[in-house]
Amino acid sequence: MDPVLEIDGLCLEFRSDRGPVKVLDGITLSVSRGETLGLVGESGCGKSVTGLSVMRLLPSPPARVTAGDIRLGGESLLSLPEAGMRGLRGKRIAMIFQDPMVSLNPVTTIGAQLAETLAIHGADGRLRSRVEAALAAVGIGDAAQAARAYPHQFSGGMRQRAMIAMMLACRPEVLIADEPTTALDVTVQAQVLDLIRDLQAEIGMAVVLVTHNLGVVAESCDRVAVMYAGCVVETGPVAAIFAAPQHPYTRALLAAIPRADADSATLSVIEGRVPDLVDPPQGCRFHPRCPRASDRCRTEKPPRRDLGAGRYVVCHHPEADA
Amino acid sequence: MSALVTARDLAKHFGGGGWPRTGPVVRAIDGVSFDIPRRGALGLVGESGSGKSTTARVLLRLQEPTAGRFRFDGEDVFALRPAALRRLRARMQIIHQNPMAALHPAMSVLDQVRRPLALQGIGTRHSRTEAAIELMSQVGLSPEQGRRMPHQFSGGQRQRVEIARALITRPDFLVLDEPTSALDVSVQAQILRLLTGLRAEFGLTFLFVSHDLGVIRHMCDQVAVMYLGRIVEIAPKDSFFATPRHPYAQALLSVVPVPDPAQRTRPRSRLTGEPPSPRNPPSGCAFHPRCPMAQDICRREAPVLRPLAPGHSAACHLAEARP
Amino acid sequence: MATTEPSGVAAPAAGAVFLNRFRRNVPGRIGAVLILLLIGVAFAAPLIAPQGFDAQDLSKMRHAPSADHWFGTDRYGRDVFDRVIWGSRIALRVALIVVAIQLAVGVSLGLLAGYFGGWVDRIISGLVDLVWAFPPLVLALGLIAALGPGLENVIIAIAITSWAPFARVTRAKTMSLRQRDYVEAGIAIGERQGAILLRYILPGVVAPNLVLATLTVPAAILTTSALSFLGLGAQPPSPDWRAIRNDGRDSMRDAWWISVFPGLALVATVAAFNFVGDALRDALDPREDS
Repeated sequence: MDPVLEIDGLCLEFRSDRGPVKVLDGITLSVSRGETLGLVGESGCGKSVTGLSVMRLLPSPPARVTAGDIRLGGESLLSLPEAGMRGLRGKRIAMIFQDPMVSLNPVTTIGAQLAETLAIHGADGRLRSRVEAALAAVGIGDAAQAARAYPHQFSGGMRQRAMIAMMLACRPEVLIADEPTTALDVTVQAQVLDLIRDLQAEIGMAVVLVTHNLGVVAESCDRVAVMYAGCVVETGPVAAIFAAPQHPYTRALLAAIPRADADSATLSVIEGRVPDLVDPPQGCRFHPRCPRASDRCRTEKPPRRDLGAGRYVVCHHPEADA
Repeated sequence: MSALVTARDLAKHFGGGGWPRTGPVVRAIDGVSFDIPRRGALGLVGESGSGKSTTARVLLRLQEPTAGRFRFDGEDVFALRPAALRRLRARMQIIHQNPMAALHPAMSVLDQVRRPLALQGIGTRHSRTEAAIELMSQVGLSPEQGRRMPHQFSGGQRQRVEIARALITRPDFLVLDEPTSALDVSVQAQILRLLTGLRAEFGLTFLFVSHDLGVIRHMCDQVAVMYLGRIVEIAPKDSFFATPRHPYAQALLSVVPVPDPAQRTRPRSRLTGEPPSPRNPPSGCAFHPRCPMAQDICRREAPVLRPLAPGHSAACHLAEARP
Repeated sequence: MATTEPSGVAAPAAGAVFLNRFRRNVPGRIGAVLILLLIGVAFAAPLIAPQGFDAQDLSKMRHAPSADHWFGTDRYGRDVFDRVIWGSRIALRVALIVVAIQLAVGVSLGLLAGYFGGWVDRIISGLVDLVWAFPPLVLALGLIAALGPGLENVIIAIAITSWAPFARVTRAKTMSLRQRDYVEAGIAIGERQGAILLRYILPGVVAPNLVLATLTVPAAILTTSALSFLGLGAQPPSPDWRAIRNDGRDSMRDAWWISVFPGLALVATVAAFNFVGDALRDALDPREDS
């Protein structure tokens, strides 16, 4: 399959009072049509920044890309002028966020906002029926009444549905969903994830699902990229990685989750803390917390190893070697 | 084992008071009853607005209850006068969800950890400091860190400070209100492991409030599920996770994302709609508008908790009809 | 998630962040220097102008500014520079006493209203609305009519008519702080209500009140001046800046210096407090949400 979106060796820094913060260090990812890629990691690992840099939504300064490229359908996004990028955003790549309220206008009705989006993307006449159809398509019952409501009258789940309806107006090639269900209750989370999956099947878009929740990844992604301290440490098909994680971080992370479906005897604990990215550790960024770290890990950046079947691991001593 | 904690018919209603009377009464919780045996751990699960946090707060009288009784080791907590209540607080403590907000921003960490001892008049200034330093090292903080202010700590460390502050008076009962929800998975694992160890060492009794069934399963031996201010199911952990009886509990368990792609195909009961607002509760069983098996009786009559198996009760008209 | 502060490092102290922000504000820095200068001058007045504000020299009436008399002399031959220097003491005293009374009354009432709510809040808020409903100058005039003219009475009148904003700001802040987890945690460890108010909530209302105080000082100084101008405030031979100007008003054409220099001092002081107030507000504001 041809990838729609490719990120190739992306390095990004934030300027700060204490010197540049090396937020992303050589991110390499790709996602194909109809595929869902889970971008997973803990706070500060750079997963959201990766999503925002694809949209080129990071203010510069302080953000600065120091190396690498981002391509959409083979065309470089980083070399595009801002005007060209504006033409792509919301048309070919769309993004939804954890808190839909930041993207919704609080003083305009849902229907009017949706109508505006539809009009921008070339809908003609009969806007009202188009709006109602769009709301119905994302599972909002009584679309006529919902169109007249203001965002604050919606629940969190309804707002996220409205955002998805707007995003869908342009049938994007790539959807970046940044923690779309984190603020929602589990029963509503399941509904929203189902909705995204159904729409994906219908339109055939590629989805990048940014999340901290490995359960969500297991339930709704095809492939996963695990991030740690600004690096992708492991990537590949979800089933294979969850069955046999190769990177020590992935392994520890999976064993740290208390599970609702089985008794977990002891949770694995990753000692230490996330490093300071102003002065990241030499060699592998995970080595200070890694039980398998060797001298080589302390000095030499691990290579991206191809394990076959679309799996890659960035580690000197993957599990398979043990 | 005797019950350390006995809560009966707890209720907390908001609004309706004042002059002029403002708006309708909101029943945040109603008719909530449970026992927790000494050294037991009850997990209180529910979605937002279910009243699980209100239950925790009412129990410790951080919010005054509207009705109900709470016996703690034989003492009638809701009848205590302020001075007696303050003394009892040495024996029941709370850990908050957000460790960023639960510590005094302008007091050193050591001062905060030893403060409860001073308030209870325990020991001398010197012995209090010693005790605080010892407990801090026990929860994984170094004594040198005592001088620092809360903002100099990471989320996980702050949660450790809060745990030390809660345990310094050697309480019997600890209320944990989503203690790890604001933390990353790996930090959550550290804190849960710490709590498990401390529970055994101090002989603690837990009321563990969480929306995360995985955390509840890991930390508790009894589970109560709340929906719109009421307990709809209460059971020993094993019985609950093996055969949940209430359709809401069943749905909750079936939609919790599990980190195992092999289970993607498991049967699920998908709920439609969202939890209703306590301002405008449905008639009869509060769950009926979302319940896949609702019948006429569910719309008319509110079900009561009925025992269905040893120690296992659910509030559902139809619960017995199913395996 | 937009910020990626590594959790492994200690965040800079809030105080340092505040100082850093304040330092970047140029008018704020100028204002701070001017206020320090005012305080220094007020304290050092006996050193700078040892002959006092009242030394007359009838041989030197209305002399223009010169090397001997930087700001010239007035119609009694008093040195205007010396009078302006001594006048700084009055300006400073007005500012300090007014602010002290405003804070004492406003903050305590605001704390009580915000913390206890219910009928306590209704009574206090009603009082605040009542005081706020009167134009301060009119109310102050009424009070002075009752108390009699004089600087002390003017100060009291101004303070009584202007504490309402402090009560309102404190009440709002207290209500939001009361909801904070750390206040609840204080109750949970057995703090008494008084300790909750003084140790947990009071420190949190300092910042907004500080900003408000800095911004109300100019108003207090100007109102005092206005009342002095009407002859109700500082009485001759007091070197109150506005009183000096009042003195010089008749001879504006031939002895402009009598009015202009105390006027400049007044403008500089008022501007300085405004600059510092704005800078404080900007530097403290972003922390409101954190």
